[in-house]
Amino acid sequence: MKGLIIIKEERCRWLRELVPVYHPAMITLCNKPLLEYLLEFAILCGADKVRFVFDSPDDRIEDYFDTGSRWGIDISYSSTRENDQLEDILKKNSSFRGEDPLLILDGFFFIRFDKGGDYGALFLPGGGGAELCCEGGEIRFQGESGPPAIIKGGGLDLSIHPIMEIGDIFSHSMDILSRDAHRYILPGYNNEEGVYIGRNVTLPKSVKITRPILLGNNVQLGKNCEIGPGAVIGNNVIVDGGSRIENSIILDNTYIGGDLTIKEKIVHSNMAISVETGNAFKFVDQHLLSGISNATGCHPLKILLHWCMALFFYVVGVVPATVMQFLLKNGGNWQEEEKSILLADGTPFTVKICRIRRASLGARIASGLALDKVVLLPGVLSGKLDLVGNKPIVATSEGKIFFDDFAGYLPGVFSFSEAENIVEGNFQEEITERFFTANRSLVMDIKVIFKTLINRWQLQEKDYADT
Amino acid sequence: MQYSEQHVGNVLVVGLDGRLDVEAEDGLLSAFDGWMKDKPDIVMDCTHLEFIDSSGLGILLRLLKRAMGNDRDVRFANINEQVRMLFEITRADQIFQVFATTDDAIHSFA
Repeated sequence: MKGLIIIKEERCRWLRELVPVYHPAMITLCNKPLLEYLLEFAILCGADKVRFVFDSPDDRIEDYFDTGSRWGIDISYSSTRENDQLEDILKKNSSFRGEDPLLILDGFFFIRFDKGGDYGALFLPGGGGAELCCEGGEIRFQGESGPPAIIKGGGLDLSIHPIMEIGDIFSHSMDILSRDAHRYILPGYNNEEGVYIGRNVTLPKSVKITRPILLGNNVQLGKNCEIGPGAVIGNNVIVDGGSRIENSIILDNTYIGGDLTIKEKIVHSNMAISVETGNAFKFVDQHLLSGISNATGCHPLKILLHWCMALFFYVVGVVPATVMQFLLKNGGNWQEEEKSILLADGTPFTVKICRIRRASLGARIASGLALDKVVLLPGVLSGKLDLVGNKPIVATSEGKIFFDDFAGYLPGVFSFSEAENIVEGNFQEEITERFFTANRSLVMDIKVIFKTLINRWQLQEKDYADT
Repeated sequence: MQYSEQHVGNVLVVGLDGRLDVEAEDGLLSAFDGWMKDKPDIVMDCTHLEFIDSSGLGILLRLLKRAMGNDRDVRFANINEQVRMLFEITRADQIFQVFATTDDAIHSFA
């Protein structure tokens, strides 16, 4: 048997507007694309060659399913026009079908099936039961001869459900998680009922988990988070400390700020969608909800560029910094302190931290040019520090606890919280630093450097105004 | 941001109109000090409050703190979905008293 899965834009356009980065067919139910559920059903029915037909093709679908070898079948792709009827689609794909019987899943719907079920009876002549159709589409079967007809359920434990609004995505996900997990192959390890955990998940001891939950790959949970019941967290998600996620879906590549409560929402990037009302809002506060653009953040080009910039700053700044240090030290406007900080691998490293008291014109210029940073630049050149990174954590016992809970920490000469003028020691500083780790990019790094320098000059003006 | 004022007994109903963000801070805080001279309880009518961000939320917290310092309270009415979602997600709904209508908020002071 062959399978034809047809999803037309008119049936799912509403979802594209809410979650634009996903092709609607790739929207995830429990971290698994909707299309994969349909594919698995077609395979269970006996299809060994499946063709996806869309009127809005998307490379990401092809990237994910590829040739189908992961499922042990052949997958091919075809496009159709918006106005094409089923008849037209079948004509266009007649060479794919050949003389074989054809299973047709036409529409935007979810099929509740069981991975252990035997659905061979569906295709026997004279089958009874309810027709497998709904507002969102229908399942048809075309035998070796005759037109395609809607299949009847034949008393099997099988049903088809339309996906017409965001609440449908939510309710199907929650049903799978809480009731039907045994029916499907879900991503993640499952040692305990109702708990699915993906690869590379950071889960501090203080996190409170209430079943059922499903965590994707590369999920980082901050300390004292409360997750569940009914939490589906996608891949590459960071949830900062103290946040609660209950009866909600966090889609891939999302950052959730600290001390927030996400209840009955679907969140993607900076968009929160209320499951109850279907209303969606984009949050402008990047420290609350935002997308994650680069979770790994360790591109060789970036490292090289940082190194070159550090070398440039060092060559240009070392003489002025030495002169200003000499001049300002006597007046007490240049202070130095040796501090042991934690490097990215957790080992302590002693650095000289300089502070300039902006009490004279020379001190203001030195501060504006960030000459106090020059002494840290050899650390960048030796590969121990990053030019732009996190504010270094001091190597104390408290700092080590903080370090243990801070995945992706990379100490830098310039930091995002300094660029954002966050008060030192303020709780916002911790949130800001984690946000930076989750979102850093080369462009952002450059912005941090320039913003820090501009801020320093603006502070000078403020100092003048204060005097 | 613009404000309208209406006294109902000892309750001052303040209509917030526009965007409540960092740019509204100075104006709203100084206006609030003016309103508090008669020490009224305050109802913020958010019917025309189009947008609020976390800075706006911070401003509202400061207003509440100032009012409580004077033994008064600030309550909210007619918040739209965006404001409600921000309140929910940041747990501000556990700090602010929110009512469906301005009348409900006014009567809550009785």
